[in-house]
Amino acid sequence: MTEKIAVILSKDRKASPEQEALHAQLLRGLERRAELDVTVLPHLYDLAPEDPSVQRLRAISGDLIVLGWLYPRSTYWVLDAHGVRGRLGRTTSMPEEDADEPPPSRHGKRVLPDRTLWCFDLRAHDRPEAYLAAIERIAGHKLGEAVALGEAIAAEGSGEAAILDESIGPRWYPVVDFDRCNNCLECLNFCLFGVYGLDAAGAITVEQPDACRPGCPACARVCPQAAIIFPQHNDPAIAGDPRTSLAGLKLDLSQLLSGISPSELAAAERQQAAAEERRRQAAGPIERRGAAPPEQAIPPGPDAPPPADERVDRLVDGLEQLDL
Amino acid sequence: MTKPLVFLMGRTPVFVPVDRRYGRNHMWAQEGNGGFRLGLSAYAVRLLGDVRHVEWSVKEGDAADEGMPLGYVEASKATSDLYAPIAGRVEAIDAEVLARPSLVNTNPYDAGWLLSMSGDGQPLLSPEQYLAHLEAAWPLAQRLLKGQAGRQP
Repeated sequence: MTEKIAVILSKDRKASPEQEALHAQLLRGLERRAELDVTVLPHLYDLAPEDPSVQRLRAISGDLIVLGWLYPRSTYWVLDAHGVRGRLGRTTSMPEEDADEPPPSRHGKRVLPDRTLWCFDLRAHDRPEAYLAAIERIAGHKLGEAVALGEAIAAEGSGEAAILDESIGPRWYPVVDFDRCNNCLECLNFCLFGVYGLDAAGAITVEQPDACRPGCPACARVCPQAAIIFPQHNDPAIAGDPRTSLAGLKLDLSQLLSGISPSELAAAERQQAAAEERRRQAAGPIERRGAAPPEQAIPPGPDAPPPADERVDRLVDGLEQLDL
Repeated sequence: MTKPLVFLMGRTPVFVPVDRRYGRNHMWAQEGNGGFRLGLSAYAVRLLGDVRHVEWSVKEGDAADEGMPLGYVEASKATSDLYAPIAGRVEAIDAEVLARPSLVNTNPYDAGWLLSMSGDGQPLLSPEQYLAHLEAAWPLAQRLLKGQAGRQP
């Protein structure tokens, strides 16, 4: 018997009434289909490895449909960071999903399990129909396969969604797109907070995600491959919008034409984050979820950037407000 | 007239006339009566492509800090906010470019001027300094462009 198809509905951090309404409509539509196994989770990005939600995600071995409040590409790489891997599913019914070209083949080091992760961005439509239709198509296709194999899809059970409503705090950490990353280690060398590390094979890993400074996207700016995603950043290019990286789309030169160089911008952001970290530590320890208590202040080592002058600060503020 | 300096963007030469000064934001500034006439350098124009639309969020008489966003340009290859290269006051806005944005492409250093500002012009660079700025910033500019362009070669 073919397994049920797992569907994850990941809620936004603070769901608005409109978002709650969409959740409810989606749940009603999904629970009607007995071949789906629906689970409601908190915001995917905020989950930590030890959370039951992550354990549940990891326990799913078959295809997975994920509805969340992130760009599909971000959802896919956040899942990857949680150890949930598979091929990225592509649908034609949701053209937004497909804006990105298929990932180029990597240097053969990422071995993916033989299954598909379908990721949907709940910000793409404010009505449930498009999502339900897409899920129906995916399920229908699976059903067809099962029939061809002479199998039946499990249809027992109530179809009622499991709700894992852990109360969790917001997190902030980089998510690496390993299809783009070429392991140049610029991020490792650039980050002041020891977020990045190397695994046994010498590949970059996000070793201390919670050592990252909330709001600081500097490493994403220095990454030559644009492989670092901060899913909650204002700038779509940093938050994982594939459309900002497409040929034929217009570039935003505001950073260049503001007279501030990208390296200055990144250095200023890093500097700002370091200053905030020092202030935070001076103000006494604050429990941060998952973060080891900081043992020492950020040393103004020889590697530290020169003090950012006021002009750079002002420009960085201006750039942040502009929502580049 | 003295020959302009030349910067090579890849294989494309762009000219840096020596009869004016430059902002680090790739605007030229030519001092005349009552302030600096400002426009985009050929380097900025080359990055933008064919300019289709220019608009201003400031009006004549407004004060502006250095680095303050003043307006917006949309072109065939890119869009960008436009920033004040100096602190001062907006004296005049070129109405002809608003009506015919392509002037920025056909004549960036003259008829394609954008606006004029009064001020002491303190942060402006000499043509030689601007050329050095272009040379120093070029690898990073390329990286930013490639980063934005994702996997484009």
